[in-house]
Amino acid sequence: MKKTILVFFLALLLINGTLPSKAANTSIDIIPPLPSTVIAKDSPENANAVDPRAYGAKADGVTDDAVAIQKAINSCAQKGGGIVVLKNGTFLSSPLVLKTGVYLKIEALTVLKAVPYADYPKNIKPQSKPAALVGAKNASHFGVFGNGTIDGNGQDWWRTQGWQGEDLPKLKIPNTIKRPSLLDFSDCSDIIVKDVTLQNSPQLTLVPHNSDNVVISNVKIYNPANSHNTDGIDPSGNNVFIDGCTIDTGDDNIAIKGQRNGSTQNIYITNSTFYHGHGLSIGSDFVEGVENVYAKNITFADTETGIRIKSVRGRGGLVNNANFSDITMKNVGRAIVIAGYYPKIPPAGEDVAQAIISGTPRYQNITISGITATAVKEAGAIVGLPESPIQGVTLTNVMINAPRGLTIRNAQVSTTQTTINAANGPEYVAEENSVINSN
Amino acid sequence: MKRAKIVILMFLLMFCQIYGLEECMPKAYAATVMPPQNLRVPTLAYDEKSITLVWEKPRNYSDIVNYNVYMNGKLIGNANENNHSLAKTNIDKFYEDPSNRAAQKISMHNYMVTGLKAKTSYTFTVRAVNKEGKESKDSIRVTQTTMNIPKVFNIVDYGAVGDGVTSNTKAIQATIDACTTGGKVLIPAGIFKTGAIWLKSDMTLEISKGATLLATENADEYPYHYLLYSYSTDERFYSMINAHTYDNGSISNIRIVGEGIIDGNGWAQEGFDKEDPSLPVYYKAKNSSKNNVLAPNHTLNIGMLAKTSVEKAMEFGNMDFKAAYPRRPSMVTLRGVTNVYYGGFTMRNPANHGLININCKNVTVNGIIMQTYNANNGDGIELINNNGLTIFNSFFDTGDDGVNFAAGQGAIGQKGEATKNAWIFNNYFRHGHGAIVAGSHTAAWIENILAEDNVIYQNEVGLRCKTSNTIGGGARNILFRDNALKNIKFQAFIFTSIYSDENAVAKFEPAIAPGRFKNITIKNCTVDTTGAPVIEVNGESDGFHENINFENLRLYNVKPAKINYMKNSSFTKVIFENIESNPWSITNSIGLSFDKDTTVSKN
Repeated sequence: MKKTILVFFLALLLINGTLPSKAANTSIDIIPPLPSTVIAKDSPENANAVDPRAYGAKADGVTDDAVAIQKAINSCAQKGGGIVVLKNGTFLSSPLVLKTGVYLKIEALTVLKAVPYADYPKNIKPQSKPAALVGAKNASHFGVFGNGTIDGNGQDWWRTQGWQGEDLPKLKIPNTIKRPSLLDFSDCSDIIVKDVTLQNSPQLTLVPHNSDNVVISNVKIYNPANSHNTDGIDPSGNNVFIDGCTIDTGDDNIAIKGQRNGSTQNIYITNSTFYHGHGLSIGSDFVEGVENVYAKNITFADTETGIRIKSVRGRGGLVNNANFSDITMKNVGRAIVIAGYYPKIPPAGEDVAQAIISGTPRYQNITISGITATAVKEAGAIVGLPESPIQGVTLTNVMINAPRGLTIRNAQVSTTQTTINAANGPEYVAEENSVINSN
Repeated sequence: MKRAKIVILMFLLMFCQIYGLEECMPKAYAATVMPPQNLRVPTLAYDEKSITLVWEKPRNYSDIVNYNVYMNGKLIGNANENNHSLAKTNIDKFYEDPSNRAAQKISMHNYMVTGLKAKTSYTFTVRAVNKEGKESKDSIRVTQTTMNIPKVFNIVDYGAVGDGVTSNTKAIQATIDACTTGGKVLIPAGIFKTGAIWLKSDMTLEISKGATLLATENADEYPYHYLLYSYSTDERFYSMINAHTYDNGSISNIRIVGEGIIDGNGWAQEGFDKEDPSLPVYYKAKNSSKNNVLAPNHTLNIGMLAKTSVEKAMEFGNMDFKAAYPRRPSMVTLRGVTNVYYGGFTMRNPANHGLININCKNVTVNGIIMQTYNANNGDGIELINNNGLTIFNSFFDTGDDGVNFAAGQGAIGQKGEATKNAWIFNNYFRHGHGAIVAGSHTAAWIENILAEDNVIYQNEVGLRCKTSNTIGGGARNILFRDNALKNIKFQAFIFTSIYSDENAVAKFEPAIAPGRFKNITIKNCTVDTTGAPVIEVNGESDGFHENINFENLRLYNVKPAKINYMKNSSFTKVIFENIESNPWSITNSIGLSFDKDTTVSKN
């Protein structure tokens, strides 16, 4: 009898040990320090900065000062770079374009505000978004900084669709109504955004798109919790550092996206706090892949989800080496959702394996450690596609309190010193093709 | 009549003086020596007790044999005698060797003044001296104030232990973080092991005499995912010593000095140099294997940090050895720093490259000793999209290039900053792939380089320019003069559009126009012995190299020049001695002119 039991346990061990673990991953998890955010040309006295009043800006909050501000930007650009400083007033403006070498400095108590919806130039192509209030394309070594505010006047856009105020349920704006982002930088590099407050974006807030070498430091983003599609920061590119930020918004606080050519790599998110939005997400579009994401020392409060990786067949790709550590979640909807399905995860046993294509979501080497979370709906879900199971998820020192446990399906998860306190039902809801190794 | 003659004579004399036309002066005035030009203290080349001066040769310098240095009006020394750098010692030995009596003479034009008081102003002039001892007038006057005595932050006070075993990364970083503006982080005598550390503005890192800052072989101590260019596809480990900003110039004033050693712990030491036993020789990796048996010199056998970092990359990235190999950490990487000074230290055995400077401005290198031979990829110093390099008095015994200039790759690389404005003089290059190399990354152009008064001995190549069709850009405005080259394993001067590096795995969007070399002058040099064509030009049918001019070269015991796809270039007073055959092999070239060239064949 003893022998049989021994053999039985040995067999179990063997089975557990030989289950597929495609990508070995001993994570290299030293995060390089934030690149310097000093802006060489800046000085407290704004010695060489250009004030758009020199080009006729009124800063009265009523006149559209775009022409004057743009002239100031262009004159700096022609000299190879410089700083345009906004101070002592409210600058109402239609879309501006930053250029190589030019930084926009907004001093404390100064606001750069978007013109109302009616005056905001719409895109000639009805399928395309209007230009962002502050945009740039193919530019490098530029940015936005200062203790001032950029206000997208989003309320004016939402009201046209019936929005009536903040403390109401979310109002979804139809996709046919194209709304501008607040800051949009496309195909750019070497960008610094620091110290500013970005608020009331009509839609996405800060989008460094296909842009490399970005440092976003001490930035505050405020959009009403019931505003629609108001992502906080949507980076796609290599070497993006987000540090010391506070993001309180209506959609993904951060949504890491894929680039046009090659995977998005090296995203570092540190020392930040997220309120009310949809959480820290990778996805839902990343056909070219996302690799090397490091999130450390993050607090979530009242967000719909905490850590989220989301995609869907046709729009996904490889997510490899995502690390989340030292995270506190208070009253989130779900702590962890890593799913090959979006927006909804089908019930267990219903989906069948499909052919693997370039847009198939493939997640591997996800390391989650040092998490304390209280979730109001459930601990979460780690649900891969039948044809593309999630490989190499490790939970270490994770504690989640929730009404229901963590659903695992088509995934391989290892846990160490991890506790899921599920009020109802099991810690782990183990559905088809789930492997849970507890140490 | 007599008066008129005198007037004419005076006018002629004035005219000649103004325009420096010594040939038209009456004999009595022929001995006027021209003063040196542009006397200056290069960026950060001074501290609380010393000031280093550099100056340029005047337009006519053939009669100048030395330079006298005056401080506050008093003669304090001269450039030839008061230079005790390892480079100068080796330069002197080179010229003392009777077999080098016909080598191009070089002129020393740097001087380090020591024993000064802190926070004190000193005024300098320099005078050129001819072989009769006659001095020129003063150069321009330069006044420099020495620095305040810096506040010293000793790493031992922050918990560092110099036993060669303890990892001191946190202690050293804490010291750097605590260091105040203008302060000095001191590595005292001892062997201090460390992982990646990060420097900041306005600081000095001093490695004392008797100190070794040793890179830990623990690859976990170096952050990964370093990308040289944001479009690079092969990520690497960060270096042992780093600084980074994306707003170029927002980090400034970093000095790395001392008589100590920074050791990259890359490879096992094979032995010592046969000719000069003071020089270590590190194993050169040969990464072949047969039937799963590794060659004896395979990295996984003879590597140290090179081995552990590659193993880590293989494990972490689930890749094979070949893919992991390029990812090894280098010694120093500074990105976006303005005003950098490297002075006096010895740099050894990097796992990958040596001192890398990206988007930096105003880099001074004074008297450093690079001993990286024969480490694979062991470049001495790299300048990438860099503006301003002054490198002198330095000794190179490198496993790869000595001084390498790069400017990105392909269509994206072309949008970067040009790598430009470099002055390379009074250095001793011994062992290396190329002593001075432009490329292969040439996309945003490499330009405005003056390389003069160097001795290049036993390098594989003297001046090497390399590019390709897809990399784009090129190199231009280079003056390579008054250098002595000897025992060059391959070419003395090569300009090639065909270059492939099996360690380069990066892929990039190709440039529109092929890379090209142009507006380059090589003059007043001697080359004693090459193993490959002394001059080699490999252009392409859609990318000729042009306006490359060779003047006053004495080439002894060299292989014939091989020129393909070159145009509008000249060869003047190029003298081949002791050559077996026709010294010119020229194809597909147009607009080449030859003047006063001679050949003295082997007897």
